Amino acid sequence: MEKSNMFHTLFLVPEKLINKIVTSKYNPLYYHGALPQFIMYVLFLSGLLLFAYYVPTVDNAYFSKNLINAFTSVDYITNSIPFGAVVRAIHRYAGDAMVIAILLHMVRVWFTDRFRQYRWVQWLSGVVLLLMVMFIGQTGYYLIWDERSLLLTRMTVSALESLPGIGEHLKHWFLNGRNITNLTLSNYLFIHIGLSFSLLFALWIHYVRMTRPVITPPPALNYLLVALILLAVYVFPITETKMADLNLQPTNMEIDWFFLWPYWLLSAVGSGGFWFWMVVLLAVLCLIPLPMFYGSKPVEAAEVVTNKCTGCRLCSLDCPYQAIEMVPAPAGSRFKLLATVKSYRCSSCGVCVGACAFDAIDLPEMPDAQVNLKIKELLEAK
Amino acid sequence: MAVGSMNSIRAVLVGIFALGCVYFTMAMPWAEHNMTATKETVPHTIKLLYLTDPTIKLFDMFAAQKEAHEQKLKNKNAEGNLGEYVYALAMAAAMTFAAFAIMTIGSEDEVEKTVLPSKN
Amino acid sequence: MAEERTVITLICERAADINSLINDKSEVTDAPGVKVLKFPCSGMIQPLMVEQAMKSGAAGVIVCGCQIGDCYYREGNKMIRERLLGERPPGLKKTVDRKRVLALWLSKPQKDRFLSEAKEFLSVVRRLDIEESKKG
Repeated sequence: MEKSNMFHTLFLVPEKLINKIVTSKYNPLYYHGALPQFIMYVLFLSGLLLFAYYVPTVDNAYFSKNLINAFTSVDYITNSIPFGAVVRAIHRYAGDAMVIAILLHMVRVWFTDRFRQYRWVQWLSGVVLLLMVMFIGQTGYYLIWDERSLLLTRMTVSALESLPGIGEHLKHWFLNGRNITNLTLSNYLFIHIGLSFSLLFALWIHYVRMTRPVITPPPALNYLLVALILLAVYVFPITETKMADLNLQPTNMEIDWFFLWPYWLLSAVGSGGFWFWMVVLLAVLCLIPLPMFYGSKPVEAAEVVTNKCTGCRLCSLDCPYQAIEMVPAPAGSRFKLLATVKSYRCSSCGVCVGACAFDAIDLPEMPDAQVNLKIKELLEAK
Repeated sequence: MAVGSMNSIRAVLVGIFALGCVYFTMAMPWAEHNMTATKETVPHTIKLLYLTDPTIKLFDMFAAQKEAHEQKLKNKNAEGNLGEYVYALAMAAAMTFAAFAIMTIGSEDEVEKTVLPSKN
Repeated sequence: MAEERTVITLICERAADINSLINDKSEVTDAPGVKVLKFPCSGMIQPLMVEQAMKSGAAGVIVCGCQIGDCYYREGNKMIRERLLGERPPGLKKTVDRKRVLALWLSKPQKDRFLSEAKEFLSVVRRLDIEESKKG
């Protein structure tokens, strides 16, 4: 690994410390992928509870005591439903926790070098997942339909409009029409919930090249994570905001930095600068797995010794990257199945070699015969 | 804490964590009803176990904190039933202690070294 | 007195970083008698290799991989651990003396732990050698 010593120390010191206190079984640094998955369950559950009472309309043509729109429905949840405010706060802070957990996951995957070559599908699908989560969180803030939501909507429209050619069409897609209407809010709700469930599909792609992906942290860690979110609920309670009024032009808002930092960027550098930096960021994130930037040595895939393979399937079952497929053995073979290696998925780890009791699969750089020879040499040398 | 077999220090720690979990769990029904404690708001299970009186005494202990929590939350312009935020805090504490208890028990297995069991 | 036999260490490249501990003959300088062979991943280690080492005259075998949960290739250390414990095929032959096999799961900076465990294991297997030679 070529990463500098400073960064290694930055990560290895807390890892060692945590291992000493709670052992590797409970070290959250070893579950950095599973934690976002668990937070997603918290978000789904709290989100469904909120969805039960949410009304996606903007009507406030005249203010009446019994006005029902998105803002009043959210207000109703916060003030009249038992634990409504708490569930709302859980949903919000679980969302923030999700962004933090994904960033930590990304940083650790980057620093432990687990994104290159055969792992590129995981990295790219991870980038897509991050983008989806960011967008889902933003639509969440639009849904409240308070002054901030109105400001965010208008800023988004101005950013979309600025794109050449497709700008107007994107604006109409986003607003679900030419102006902000009830259809706009139902579009936001559709995106928020639809994209959330689409996360499951993107996660399938994220996991598909891994055997037995670790997607559940141990219960003790789950309790700590929920406790952390509940602590945030107490320390940062839900505060009152003002209903959006289409006749007014709000200009200030408090932003939740985890999701709404792009809006800070937009207000700081304008639409042009905004899209430039977004494209640069996306390009950087997507290009990270390209091996040519890092000079990693090419992976030499494992090779099956076809005349020794008995088709026992152990290598295929044990391979951590779904790189070994069992195919029907050629005619004339004593056995039913034959192992074949998909070299573009192979990591050259050798788990298949360890699984084989028949010396029927080898890593070309270190075949079994060479290992046995080396062991003998070490024992005979004095 | 050295990883090793269950010894008396660990057992004591587990006991403390478990007690802490129960203590904060009891704060939850108190907080839920806007931090007021009466015989009526005690959960039915506790009434069935005839533990109503010690529970009310415990609730009275918690009651001293009602002002402090309400003040803190009002200063932040909290919306909704204030007791429910305190419920969340109590639940956070209860879950934390539960997690510590589980980790104390679970970490007694050696994870950095595996000695193969031999039959002879 | 029994001849002082060698302990073979089968270690993966990303586990405890013992490069500074070994000399150019692949022997641990502070624990002479412990020799080291490196693999890309501990998952590549076959129980057959452990048997081969014992058959070829090793006093004992140390298998060392990454911390459980942090294998660079995801599952390698879990695989060899389960194979040695008999929870996953292929297993270790019954003829191999389990007391002469030690498995360690150490992260990169834990070379001191490796050294202390290797020294202790070396003395344990040498004592076993002496006892067995006495029984004749």
